[in-house]
Amino acid sequence: MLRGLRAVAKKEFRHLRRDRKGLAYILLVPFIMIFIYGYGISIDMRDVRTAVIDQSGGPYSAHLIQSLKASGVFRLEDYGPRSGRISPLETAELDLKAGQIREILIIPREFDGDLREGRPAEIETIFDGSEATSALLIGRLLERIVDEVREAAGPSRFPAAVRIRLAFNPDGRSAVPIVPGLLVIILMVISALMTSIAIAREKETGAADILILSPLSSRDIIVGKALPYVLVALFDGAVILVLAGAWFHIPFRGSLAALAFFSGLYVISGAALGILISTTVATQREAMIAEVLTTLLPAFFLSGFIIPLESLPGVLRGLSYFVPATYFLRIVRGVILKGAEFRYFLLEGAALAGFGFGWLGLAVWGFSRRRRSPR
Amino acid sequence: MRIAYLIKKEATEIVRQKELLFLILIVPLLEIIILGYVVAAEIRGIPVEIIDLSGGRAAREISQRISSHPILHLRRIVQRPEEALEILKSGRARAVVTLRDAPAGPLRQAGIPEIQILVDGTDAFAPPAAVGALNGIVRDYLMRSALSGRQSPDPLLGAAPAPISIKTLVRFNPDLRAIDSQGPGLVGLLLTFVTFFIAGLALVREKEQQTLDTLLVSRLRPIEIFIGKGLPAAAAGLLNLLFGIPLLMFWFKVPFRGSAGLLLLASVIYLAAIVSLGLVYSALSSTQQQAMFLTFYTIMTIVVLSGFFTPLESIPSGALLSRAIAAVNPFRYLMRIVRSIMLKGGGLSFVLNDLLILSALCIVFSTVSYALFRRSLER
Repeated sequence: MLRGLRAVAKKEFRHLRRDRKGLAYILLVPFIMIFIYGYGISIDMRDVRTAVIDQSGGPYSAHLIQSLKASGVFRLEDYGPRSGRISPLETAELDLKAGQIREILIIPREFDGDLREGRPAEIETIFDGSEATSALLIGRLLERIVDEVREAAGPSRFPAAVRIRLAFNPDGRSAVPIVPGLLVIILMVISALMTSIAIAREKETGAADILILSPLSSRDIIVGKALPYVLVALFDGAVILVLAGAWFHIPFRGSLAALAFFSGLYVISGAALGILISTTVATQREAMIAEVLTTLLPAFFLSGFIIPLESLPGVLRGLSYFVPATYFLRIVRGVILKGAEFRYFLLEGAALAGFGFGWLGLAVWGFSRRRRSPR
Repeated sequence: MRIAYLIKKEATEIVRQKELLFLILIVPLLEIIILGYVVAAEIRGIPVEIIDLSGGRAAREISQRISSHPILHLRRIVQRPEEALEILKSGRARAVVTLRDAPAGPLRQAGIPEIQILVDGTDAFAPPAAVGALNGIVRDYLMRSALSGRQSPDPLLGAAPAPISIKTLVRFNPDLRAIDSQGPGLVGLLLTFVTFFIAGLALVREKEQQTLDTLLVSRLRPIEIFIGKGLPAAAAGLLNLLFGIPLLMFWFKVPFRGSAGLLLLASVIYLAAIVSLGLVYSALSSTQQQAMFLTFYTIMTIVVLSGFFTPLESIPSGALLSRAIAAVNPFRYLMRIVRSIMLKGGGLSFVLNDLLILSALCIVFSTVSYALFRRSLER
């Protein structure tokens, strides 16, 4: 019964193997990607170029500046009193506009006096809002450092009453959520994109007609074509896992078997989506563009990979339930980082299986209908 | 003049395929709207649970502050011991606040419980926001309860240091609207996708369909093929820009404070750079699948390493590959220019530096690309 399937899969494998360059890309590129993304998507701010205008020039302001420097977050540039036609603040504002600096910090003349007298003091900051994400992050860091400076100046205010900890990622490294998340993206790219292009290619070259006229069952043709890419995707997934542990020191706390099981379901859903899309397009070019717009961008933006889902407006949140990556991301972060057990993901697993086999069924059905009544 | 025929042929090929036209013109605009709402989303609604084992006023006050906080969402309060870590594992909440009776001492006298906050560190952006918000809430609560219980010498505050407040001004985007800073990048992302794909497939398609030979035996010179194949791709990208930017302005109310001409100039230079890159991929690949794979990963890379999602300063200095790519990434310079023009109203003098770098990159990319392109045609 599986002979037909095996034959189609073998043919597709041979395509893959003969195309040395293509295979090399598929196998090598994830390595490069993990290094670029693992470091690239990071909010561990450092070296924030900051213009400092210290009008106070006393011991307290010097201490504040020293602490900001020591934090490693800010790279301070002294815009203090300068001889010139325009004032330091005007210079700084121009540099802010030109993007030379990200922030201006002004320590007013009264700062030291106020603190010496025990009065509340104020500092001023001006941010570049054109990069809202960094402005928010910088603001938060600045607040924390100023808090620390203030508290260090007097007796501790909160004697061990409060403890805030980050679970599963105590140092708050950005790579910890991002690197496992890449598994979600790369598995989808390979399973969905490659499958849909492979099928579109046969359509384009006319080879699909031969398959359609063959005595093979529709199921064998479709599953056979997708199988090699599913396996390649899983292989790449394994490579990413090894790199994540060996290079990025991402802990693996859960069960590998659970992850493998869900990965299988996820990749099937990806391949099924790829097949479904390839049936609606005529050329590889269309397949590619359609795939990117309907599968990959959502995997990036509507899965929680970057933006947490609860922050999305209602309609988009609703849409995110139709994106397999949403479920798989929860599984990946849960199993790898939190060590959560299989039973936590029954719903997610059911959703992935539903999408995968549902779409696959739809694709087989559509394909066999077209075989019976070609255009 | 011969080149006009090639351009016409390429354009006809694109226009004839209604589906393709739909995919490269209509769908990107729809995506701008959909993804616009995604990138515009401020972090909010972070689910928090409270485990209250102190049974006191503290839980009421803290929970009130959490539920009225703009970015937190109080999911529930339980009065029995539960494992905070298990709650995070289940994914029900992203943060758990546990209140316990303090051991005998000044804290217990003041009716202040021990507060433990556990935040799920497995998300990219939510944890810092949650930590900041909860930290603020708890400190505020402690300060107030210490002040209100101001009997005799205060056991908590002692001689408190004078507070330092931070007065914050934000230029160019005073409300820190995410769509203002991310929208222009989104348009750039989609125009890059469309242009890069068309250019990346331009030649290899003909290879696969065996029509390249016809093109080669025609009297077209390589430079004519290069430009003839490149122009329609760039034009498709430009159309995306011409519709995408007004869409941002009218749908999302993103301001446009600078010069449209300057933006157009920068975009054309950028398009020339990526079209060159796309064409060389196309010339070097032997199947469309290969070309698409390369193209796709290149796009993802230049987008991530552009400062679009996250600030470039946060790339560790040891990540040499990432840093090097970021330095020669045309998308990065386009992003800076577009943000400057649209949000800051920056004129030529403000974007000149980036424009010069972009032009230099464009010249290098197109020269190297053309050399490779030509060699692969002659082989």
